[in-house]
Amino acid sequence: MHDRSDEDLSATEQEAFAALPREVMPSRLLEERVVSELRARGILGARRARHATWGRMQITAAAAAAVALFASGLAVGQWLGARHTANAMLALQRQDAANAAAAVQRTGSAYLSALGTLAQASSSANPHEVAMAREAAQNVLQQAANEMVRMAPDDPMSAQILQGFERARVEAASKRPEGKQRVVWF
Amino acid sequence: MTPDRTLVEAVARDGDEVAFRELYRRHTPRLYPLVLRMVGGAEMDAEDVVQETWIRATAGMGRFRGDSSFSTWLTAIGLNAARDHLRRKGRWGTTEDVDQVEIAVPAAPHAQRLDLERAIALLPPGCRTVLVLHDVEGFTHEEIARQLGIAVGTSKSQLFAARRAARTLLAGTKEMSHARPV
Repeated sequence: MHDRSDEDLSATEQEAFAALPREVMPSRLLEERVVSELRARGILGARRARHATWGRMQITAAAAAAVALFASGLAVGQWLGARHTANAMLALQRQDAANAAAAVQRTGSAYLSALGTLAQASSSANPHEVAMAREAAQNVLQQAANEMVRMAPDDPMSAQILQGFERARVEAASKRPEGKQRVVWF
Repeated sequence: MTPDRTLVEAVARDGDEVAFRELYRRHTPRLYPLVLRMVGGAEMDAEDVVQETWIRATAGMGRFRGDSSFSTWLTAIGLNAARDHLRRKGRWGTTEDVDQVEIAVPAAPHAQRLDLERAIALLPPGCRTVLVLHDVEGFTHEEIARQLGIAVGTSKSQLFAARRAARTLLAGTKEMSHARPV
């Protein structure tokens, strides 16, 4: 053991030691490093972790609610869309039916008008051309009767028209020499 | 200012990061230079020790009873962390080894006198620690003995050897000299 007086610092030495900095703040990065390490070890942020857990639960519930809402919205949307589509289709069909009816009416009028013109000209026109026009008119009438039967199979008028056409075809076939049938295509 | 004890409880009970940061900023400026001197001025080593100190302290805050100040409690943890760090690097022997070691005092560059900080850094870890704790931090030999787990006499011997070596270094001796601690 040494005599303490031999160990004592001189005044200059004491000043030198006293001048040494006692407080030095390390790099700011060290604080973040320490905090990060403590978080990783689960020492810090426990309360926040509990909140985060609760938060995750809330988020999960919110996500589930959002999915349910989305699914509901999708279903309603699809239903509305389907209903809209059905209505649109129905409207379109109605529109188509109306248009078709209008078209039938217009073409029927044109058909009758054309037949009237043909009737007026039949006395002075070329008999061969008149015969072709009559055959075309009969074919249109027959096809129209076919479409009427398809549309309303129980409609007796359309059926009788077709039966009349069939009898006329048979009679004509029996009177006309073979190989002389003429066909007009539309 | 929120008392340390309140902050410690907040960290221990809730893992309160804000409270921790407050404690860190309040006490690290004192802890860091002490640790830096203990590890011989190696800043990266000092930062590692400071980090380890806070990890140990935070993990053990639930056991802090407030019998001593938080600063004293933290310093004790820091000293242990620094000693463990030096031990892992093979630079901290047993008390007896330190007592017997020869202090190799390197020659200072031509006409250049080392400053005190550099001279302290060149001392062997055991002697350096006692010198830092006693002459820089103001610990008594009893406190040093308790903190480092050594005898009071050993603390005094190491302080004597450390001062003599430091004086030699500060004198700017050109040739290598050896000062044997008693």
